[in-house]
Amino acid sequence: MNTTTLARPESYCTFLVDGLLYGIEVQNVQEVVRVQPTTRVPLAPQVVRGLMNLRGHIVSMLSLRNVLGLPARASDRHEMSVIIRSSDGPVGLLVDEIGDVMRVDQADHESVPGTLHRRQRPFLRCAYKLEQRLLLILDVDRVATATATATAID
Amino acid sequence: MDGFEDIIKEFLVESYENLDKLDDDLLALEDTPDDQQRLASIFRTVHTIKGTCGFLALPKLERITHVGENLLVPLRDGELTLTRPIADTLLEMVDAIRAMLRQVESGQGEGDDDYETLVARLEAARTQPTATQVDPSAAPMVSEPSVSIADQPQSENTATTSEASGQVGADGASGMDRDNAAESPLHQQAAPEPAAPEQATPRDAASEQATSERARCDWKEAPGLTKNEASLVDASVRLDVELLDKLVNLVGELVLARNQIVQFSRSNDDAPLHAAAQRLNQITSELQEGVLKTRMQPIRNAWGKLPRLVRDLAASHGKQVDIRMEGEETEVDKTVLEAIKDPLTHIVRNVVDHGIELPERRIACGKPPRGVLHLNAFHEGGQMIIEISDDGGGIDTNLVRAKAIERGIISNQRASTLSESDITPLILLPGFSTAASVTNVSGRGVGMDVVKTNIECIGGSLEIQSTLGLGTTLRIKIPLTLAIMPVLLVATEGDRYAIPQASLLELVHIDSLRARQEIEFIHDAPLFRLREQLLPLIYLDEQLGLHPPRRRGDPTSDLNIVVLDADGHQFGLVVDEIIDTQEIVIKPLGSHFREIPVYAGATIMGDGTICLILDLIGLAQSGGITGGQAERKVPITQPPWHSNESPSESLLIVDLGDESRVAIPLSSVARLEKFESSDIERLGDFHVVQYRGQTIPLFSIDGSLECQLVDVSSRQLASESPLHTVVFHDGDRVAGVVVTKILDILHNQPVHADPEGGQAGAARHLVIQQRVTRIIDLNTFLRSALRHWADAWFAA
Repeated sequence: MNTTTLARPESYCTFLVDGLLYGIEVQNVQEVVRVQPTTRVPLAPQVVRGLMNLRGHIVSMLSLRNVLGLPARASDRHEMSVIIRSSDGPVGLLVDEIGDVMRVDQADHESVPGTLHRRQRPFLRCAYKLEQRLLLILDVDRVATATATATAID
Repeated sequence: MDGFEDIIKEFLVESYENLDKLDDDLLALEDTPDDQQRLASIFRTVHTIKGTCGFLALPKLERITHVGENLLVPLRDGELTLTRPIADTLLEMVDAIRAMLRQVESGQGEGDDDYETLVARLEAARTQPTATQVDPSAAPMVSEPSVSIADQPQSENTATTSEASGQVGADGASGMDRDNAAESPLHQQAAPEPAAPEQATPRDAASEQATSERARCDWKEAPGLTKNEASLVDASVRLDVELLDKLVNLVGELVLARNQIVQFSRSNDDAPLHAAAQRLNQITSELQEGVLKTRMQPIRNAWGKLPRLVRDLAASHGKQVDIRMEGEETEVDKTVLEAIKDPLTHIVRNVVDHGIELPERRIACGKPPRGVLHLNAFHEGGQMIIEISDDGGGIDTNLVRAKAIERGIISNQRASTLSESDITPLILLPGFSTAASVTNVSGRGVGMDVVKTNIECIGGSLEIQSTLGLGTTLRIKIPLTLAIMPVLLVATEGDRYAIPQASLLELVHIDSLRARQEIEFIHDAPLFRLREQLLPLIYLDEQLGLHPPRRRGDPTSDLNIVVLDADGHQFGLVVDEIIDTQEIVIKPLGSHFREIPVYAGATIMGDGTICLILDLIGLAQSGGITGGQAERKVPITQPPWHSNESPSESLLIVDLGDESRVAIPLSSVARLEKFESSDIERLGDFHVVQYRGQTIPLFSIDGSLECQLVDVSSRQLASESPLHTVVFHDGDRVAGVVVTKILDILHNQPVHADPEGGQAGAARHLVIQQRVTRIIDLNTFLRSALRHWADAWFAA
């Protein structure tokens, strides 16, 4: 999927989750939508927030906070969702806030810091040093198939 | 004649397609004249048409293709290079073939057009390729016809095997006409003569050209003539199945969108909107019907290969089997057809393998030596029924019964209560058929459970009937389409769920008063007596984890019970509300839900919300109705607990304290003892008593029939009254089971196995003294507990 060479800057769709900036390659993002009412699925893994009707397609909505083992959101502000293209079809990720599409320089590429929380590491591909903060790049397929029950950090 | 017409039709459709390809190939070949692959493909196409023409008695067509083939051989072998004139001639041949095919299609045979000039030119192109090349400007298609015709006989004779070739030459045309007149009196013989003389004196290039022009004009006209009659090519189109599937899915979406609009228009007082919605409704329904029809295929496609299979199998077994098929035209959705193919083959194989006897045996039984396998398909009640019957040996119920008991599929007691007609279906149960010995004696059964499962996977069912000595009939019921499913919508805890109607038996509503009286509990497992049948109840909200498990004594409310049959197990599903029936389009759920057995998929409702579709077999399993136990319910006409002919046992009836009763077979009870609370001592996690010089552990049975250690705080221990204890021996292990009260000992109680599965050691229940009573087998029950005890004991 990602055929760009190292020299070419890559575009990422970015969003905020629990104060951190995460990104997904733009070509893996189908669209960004406001969260609509979802249908709950009893017995489903905890990461699954429900099913959403996206113009006639049934999309599983995952709480990215839950996937990444982050505490549930305190405020009940409307979350946004990023619909990603996974190998298993579209999957919705609930995020706190949508950021810009960013082009990053491959020179700023870093491997994932080893000190990162254990729970998060499998879902991260790499990081980019931006001027002010770090951009953490998510592994789309791993996030989309995350089913493990998250234990939120207190 | 129908068959013949079908062949012609197929031939025409195929040939038209091939001809189109031929056009393309030839054009492409002009640019790359030495493309061997294309040449080979052209050759094959022409060869195929030629072969079929011979078979269908179309001599003219055969002749043209034959000559064309002759020309193509040197081209293919590289002895000749494709030049523009040759290509022109070949294209002309393609046109001629097409024109003749149209004639055939319109039912006029090959038509009366004469193609001798073309034949001649094809020949000429082969023998004198340079002649055409020398002077391309002057009538390129006319290349010394007379010479070529004169040359022809020799080369023709050497190069061909066709009997027609001998006639080719100066008299070829008239020979052809004679042929025509002789073999097809059907065809109006309308003056083809002019062409022949003209050809006989073909020195005149102008007239020759005129003839060919005329002929070509005729061919050009032909499509015009047939246009009104919808040419076959236009009448049938080959389509990619993927495209069809996509269309079906899109129409499904459209249906959903339509539902939304209709619902919206209902909540609106806008008359024009109403009208438009109505129109949309109507058109969508028709479109849906039409699109679904595109995927319908005759069942013939699924069993077309069976006659051959039967023939080969019968031959290898030294049997004689006739296969008869009825209702081959019955149509069913392609996906269903694909799904039914394998099970059908499997069944037919079984019939020939085991059902039909050897000829000698048949004669000895007074039957004709040839067995008959009868396939019959028809529509009934929106479903497709396929019956596979044979006049073979039938299934010996005694052997089935014996084997079923031996394999532990049913208990001895149960077996004796089953009637003959209930025994036969046992061969469809898993575990029965895997043993080879069973197959040999019973006559059927290799993987019949797999067949059954496959059919059930697509919402079908399989029934079997057999009469010993007379034969067996299998009846397969399958839905006509899988794209749309009628469901019952129910609600629980505020969410809607869809239940496939195929499994729906009936709906029962009981008010809270009746519920209190008529819902009986075996511990905390609720049962409902529906017309004197015990129906285990499952609460949907409990199964979905939305409600804590209900216990006996909980306040009851009105109950809506959906009586369902999942894989032969009947149970009642308690829901909050029954909404409506609806036709829905199933959509699969994502990977996150694959582990959850209770959902079959999801659908989008008219209002745009998503509704989950319940998987009843999964639900029954998670609810403990099925699974675990080897014993499965067979559809039974008479409930076994009404039967009198069964073995009896003496039972000890005890009260477990929570008003539930349990019967313990007396045979497993050593003694009944009373211990004082003060006798009880503690040893590690266990409570023990001194009993006849032994230290024995005490256990109790809780409401869910789990064996537990006696709880210190429990009623039994807290009270001052003596503890009623059932002492039980298992080899040299002794244990006590504390019960609240010893109620009774009943002798000669009929004991039946009951369909209800559930926890090990608690498989059966029956009505004793008007109360539902569970029979527990202490042996199984205490096994793990005793092991625990032994471990702890020896560790200490």
